[in-house]
Amino acid sequence: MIQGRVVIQEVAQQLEGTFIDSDTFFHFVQDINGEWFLILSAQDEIDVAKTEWAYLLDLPLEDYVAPPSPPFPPIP
Amino acid sequence: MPFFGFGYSASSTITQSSISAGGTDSDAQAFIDAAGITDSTQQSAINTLVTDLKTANIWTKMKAVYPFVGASSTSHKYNLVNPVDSDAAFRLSFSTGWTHSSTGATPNGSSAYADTFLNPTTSLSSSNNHASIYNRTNTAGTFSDLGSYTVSGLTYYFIFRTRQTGDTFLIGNGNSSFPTAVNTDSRGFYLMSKTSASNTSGFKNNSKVINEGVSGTGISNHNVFIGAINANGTAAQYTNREISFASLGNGLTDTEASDFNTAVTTFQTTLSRNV
Repeated sequence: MIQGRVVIQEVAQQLEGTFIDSDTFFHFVQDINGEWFLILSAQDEIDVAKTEWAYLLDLPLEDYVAPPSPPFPPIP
Repeated sequence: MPFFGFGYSASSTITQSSISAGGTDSDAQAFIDAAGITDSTQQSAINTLVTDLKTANIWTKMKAVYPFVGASSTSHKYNLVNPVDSDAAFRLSFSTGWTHSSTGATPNGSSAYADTFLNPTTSLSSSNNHASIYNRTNTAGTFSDLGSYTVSGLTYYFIFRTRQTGDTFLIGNGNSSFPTAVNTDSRGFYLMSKTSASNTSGFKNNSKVINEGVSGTGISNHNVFIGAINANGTAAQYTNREISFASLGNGLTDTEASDFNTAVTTFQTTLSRNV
């Protein structure tokens, strides 16, 4: 089970797309219950720890359950 | 230190513009420098890849080539064809959720993708395009290895699933038709190619597994993502497969596809990460 950190919607919206270094940007996803998750790799955690957003690493890890995939082909 | 690097003055009599000092192709050297590749085996593999693509006359058909050499987001982000750190050069930007290693880049399958900044409508055409990817992980699911689609009346696609649920390899590079082929192992080198408006082809390793007539015009008008699909502006269908190569560009003939497979396979074998 993949794990991530739950943030409030305002934080997700504020940080979405913000670069933590020259190569990598924050991306948040909603789980099956609509909660906003930040799912970091071990390498991301090292990089985030060096930034002003290191406080995010203090948030507890929680299990992430993805929402169902949208239909394919999508319906216009 | 440059590959085979040594002093080289402006007065040199070497006239082949694509060859730099010491026999390294200048395009390969530019990538090696930009990506900070210091390992001699990796440098040699890059040089051979570039020269193989040029010898096969497919280098100029490439808009973006991502060799995923090195072991960091910085070394993995550069486009071999144009190794400049800019969106216009189709340099990758990675979301959080990737793990970078010497064997490739692995997305987490839940939130990770990379933006190529390549828009098929502006950089490719619906009758002349290709995409390729080299997977090192065998998984099945509703994963898109790369692609995008745009909903605008009709839905316009540039989609690539190497092994979706039901064990099929699916391609789509137009506004209709999603030809498939049976595939029970997502590992290997995959290519979808279109060299005319009426036919699309799919290859796994050196086998042509899809050859199907298609109709319709138009192609996705959203940036191609790697590790997921750009679903009309939002990342979706995240994959968890390790990626060791990807490319986007003009369509390749069957012969060019075979030469491309040989070049990429040689590249992966040199790096001891072939599957």
